Amino acid sequence: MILILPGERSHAALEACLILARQLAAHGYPACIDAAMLPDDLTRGQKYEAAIFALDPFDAPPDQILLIAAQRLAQDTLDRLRHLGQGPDAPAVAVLGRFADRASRIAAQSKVAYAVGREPLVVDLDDLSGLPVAAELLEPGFCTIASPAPRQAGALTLAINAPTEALATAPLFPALSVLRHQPGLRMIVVPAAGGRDRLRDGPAAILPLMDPADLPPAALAQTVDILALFGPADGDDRLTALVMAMIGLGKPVIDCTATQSFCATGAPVLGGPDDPAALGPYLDRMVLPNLADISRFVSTTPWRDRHAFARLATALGLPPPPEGDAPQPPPQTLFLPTNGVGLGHAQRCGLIAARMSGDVPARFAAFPSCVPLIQDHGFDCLPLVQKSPDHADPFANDVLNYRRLSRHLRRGDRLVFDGGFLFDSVFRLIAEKDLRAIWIRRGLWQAGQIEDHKRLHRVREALFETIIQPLEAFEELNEPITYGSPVRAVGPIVQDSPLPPADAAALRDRLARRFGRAFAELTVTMLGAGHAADRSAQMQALCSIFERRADCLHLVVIWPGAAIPPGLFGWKNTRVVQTRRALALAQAADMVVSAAGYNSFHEILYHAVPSILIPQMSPFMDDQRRRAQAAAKRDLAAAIEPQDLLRLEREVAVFLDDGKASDIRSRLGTLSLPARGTSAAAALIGGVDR
Amino acid sequence: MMRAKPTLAYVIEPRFSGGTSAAVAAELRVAAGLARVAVHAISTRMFKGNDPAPVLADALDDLGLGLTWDSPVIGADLVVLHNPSFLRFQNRLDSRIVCRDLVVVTHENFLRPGDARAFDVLACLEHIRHASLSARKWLAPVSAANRVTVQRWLDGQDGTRGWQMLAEDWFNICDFAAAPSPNRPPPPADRRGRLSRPGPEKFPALADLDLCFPPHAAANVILGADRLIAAGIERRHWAMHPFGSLPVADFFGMIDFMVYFTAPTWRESFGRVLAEAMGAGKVVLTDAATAAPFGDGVLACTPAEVDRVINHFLARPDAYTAQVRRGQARLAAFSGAAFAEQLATLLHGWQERAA
Repeated sequence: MILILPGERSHAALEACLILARQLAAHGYPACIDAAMLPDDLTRGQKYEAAIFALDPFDAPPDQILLIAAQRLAQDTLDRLRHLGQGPDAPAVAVLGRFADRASRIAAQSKVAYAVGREPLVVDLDDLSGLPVAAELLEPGFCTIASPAPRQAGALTLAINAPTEALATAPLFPALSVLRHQPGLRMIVVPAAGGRDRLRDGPAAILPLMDPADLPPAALAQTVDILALFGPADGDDRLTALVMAMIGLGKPVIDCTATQSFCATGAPVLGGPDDPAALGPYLDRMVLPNLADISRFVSTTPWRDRHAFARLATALGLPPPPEGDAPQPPPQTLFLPTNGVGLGHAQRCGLIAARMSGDVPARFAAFPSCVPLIQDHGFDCLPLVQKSPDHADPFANDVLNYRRLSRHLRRGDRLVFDGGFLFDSVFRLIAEKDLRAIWIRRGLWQAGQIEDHKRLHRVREALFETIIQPLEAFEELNEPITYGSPVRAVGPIVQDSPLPPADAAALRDRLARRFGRAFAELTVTMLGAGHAADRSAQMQALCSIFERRADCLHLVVIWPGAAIPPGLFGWKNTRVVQTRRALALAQAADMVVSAAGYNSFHEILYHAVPSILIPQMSPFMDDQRRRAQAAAKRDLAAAIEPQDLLRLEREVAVFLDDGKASDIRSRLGTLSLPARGTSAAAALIGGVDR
Repeated sequence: MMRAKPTLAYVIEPRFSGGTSAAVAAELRVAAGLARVAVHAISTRMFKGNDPAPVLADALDDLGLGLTWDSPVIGADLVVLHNPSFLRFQNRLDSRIVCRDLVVVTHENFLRPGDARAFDVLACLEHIRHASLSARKWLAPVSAANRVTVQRWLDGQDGTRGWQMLAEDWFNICDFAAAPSPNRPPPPADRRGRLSRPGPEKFPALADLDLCFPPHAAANVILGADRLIAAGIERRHWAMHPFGSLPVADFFGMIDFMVYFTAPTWRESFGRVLAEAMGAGKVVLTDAATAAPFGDGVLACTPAEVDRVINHFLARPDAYTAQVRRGQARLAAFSGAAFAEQLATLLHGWQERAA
């Protein structure tokens, strides 16, 4: 294990440590950073990245210590080094820096020598590689030579970097506003760290903005085909690392700075126009037709050889990295359903995974509430950490999940994500591990959610090779929110009947024995656990309604583990059932009262269950009202607003006393519905290969 | 005809807080009787403010000498520049030096153990060489051990660039007025201590400090423990004091054994602090290389051997007294009189040669 120590305890030095740690790891050298040297108030991105590499070196003693940014050697670092680097079994110490003069280099060497009691290896990076691509850097500034991942068909990705303020004003803003519509180009705009959030409050919010801290530079470079720079990178280690990663991949970097500051260092970058309006024509005529030649030029320059990571590894005396000829296990398919407000995502993924073919079984990672359901489907499940108000950060659980998943996933694995909100962890892992990513994303978004989604996810969405959209049963409900080739629609994904019609009577008998009472009517309420909307009043009303019916057994179905409202107890006709097999109960019932979530709704339709639908509406949920109304206007269900309790009572009476339930069951039994899409989705996932 | 006193100009960075300023102060008191002395201060990026080290300020006051900052031209028969390392962060020496002989006293070793460069010696000496016009330029080591590092550095250069090695050691004057009579010192107790600036080079590994200052000692006094305190090092059996927070005489009054080890990657060029301890009538223990300038006046051992050595003296108070005597006897070689004789001889010889 190589421990990276920063010359000073600062955010900039941490960035440098993280960049080098990731670069070492990518070359097969296990690397870590010292948790004790993390600065206070880490940024969100730094928390994610530090979670992978930060540890207490006394828990895992390193074999070697790399002290970087030694030109800024602070006493804190020397004190830490004194603790870590002394003793007969202490690790070797190497010092990396860009020193203003010989005196500074000697001073750094001496200070380290005093701290650890022996001479360190000192690597003057200016001597080793010459001038870096930007000034005042703390990270070593070497590039990883690699072949870019094979490009997918479609638009080239152009990343634009510029000072944040310039992005909101002329001439850059109007030029980029036009350029973003250029055919064949997918543009992302990367301001300085933190700039994205400032720009989102102004007109520049229309640009596809990305924060540079959203991804490690090397991972970002993998997703970008061309990088254009309208500002210098002096003192910006992250941007510099992005430039170096692009050069390492042989990709075009265009220097559009007024002073051509990148070109001036001798780096193999193209001198582009400093007038943003000219960038489009420059790309059209100079870059896009010559991509292969540009890549050849970048890849064969002596400058790149001097700045290759292998040169640094040799200077540090690192052993050759493992050859990597050990047999690699075949890629795995990992399903990652969010739990939403119910278990619908996990249920859907379980159905699809069960249809997957192939030698490598699918595996799951899911939140604790979903784990038993997934295990019931017959799959292993890596438990994830649930969000909690007790965490210091609202995204703290996602940082932990990122760390956990990072250890579990390997490069080239398939990741199937099912959910509406794309977690940082998922986005990062797809890019960092070059995962073949599939997003299962149902439609029927509420008004306003689409714009929010585009604002949050349009950059991230591009990392997915396929977006599978399970369709709604009714055509008017199908409004894809994303257009373009990666979106593939499949029929509604609905589980098969767990209860053959002939078994319904037997199940009712079992229920009668189980609860010790005979009944003539069986009703089921499935209004959720209250995460999305408080339905305790509706459930109380239903308990009261069914209490007045002499031979009625009313089952309130709750997911196992969910909180049970205390008011549900004490009713003579009502029983609370915690089960993941709600559909069988619904099939055996005379009627159900249900929310109108995707899974419940389609199970009701496809298995001919008479229902009263009470939509759950929440800003972060799908449009259940439209779904319920679509069924109601076809006389396939009743749709009742949550507050309309008097109508609910009347509707129950109509269903049970006036035959409406039987009528609906009959209509549903003869209804022609779209073919189910479970197998198609499984085939799409299985077919996502390169 | 009486010959006029030669002129002697000192070029110093007067803000050094440790041995260099103490050595210069002692030297000025001797030199003032042998030559017409001027003292020139050079301001460098090493220090802030304009206050000279107190020991130096006292000497200047006592001698009625002024301190001239950053003279454009420094002229004298002999110019003595103490500790060229003060130029380590400078791009040049702005003062012009015009003299017959220029002596650069090498207070710091040019090479550290293992021959690593201690500072950018070449740059410092080149700054001086480019700023000076003199018939001869001398490098004057402060001890035999220091001489070795200077010579090894010179040997590693592409030519001497006009520098010659002075045959005599330009030693630190060790006249310590506070030294008690060694004739009948009280029986020693296991009271140990060390004194140094708080620089990291002055301290060995923590494990070695633990060996030197164990819980069973009656006292363990560390003066100059600033970094240990700042780093949160806690030992109930250590009395840690920041540098300068105790009068040195008080410190020596609290100990019987001076136990002094440094980082193994650094070495004292002279060891003035050891001489001070000997002068104060203490038995001094240190590593062999640091002990060398003082012969049998200082006991050479390793940290692991400290307990055994101290136990030996605790059991034999007569041996303790004899060791104190040996130490103080060795200091005679570094007396002001000895230095005056050496300086007078040099001045006379150079004057003769010039005539």
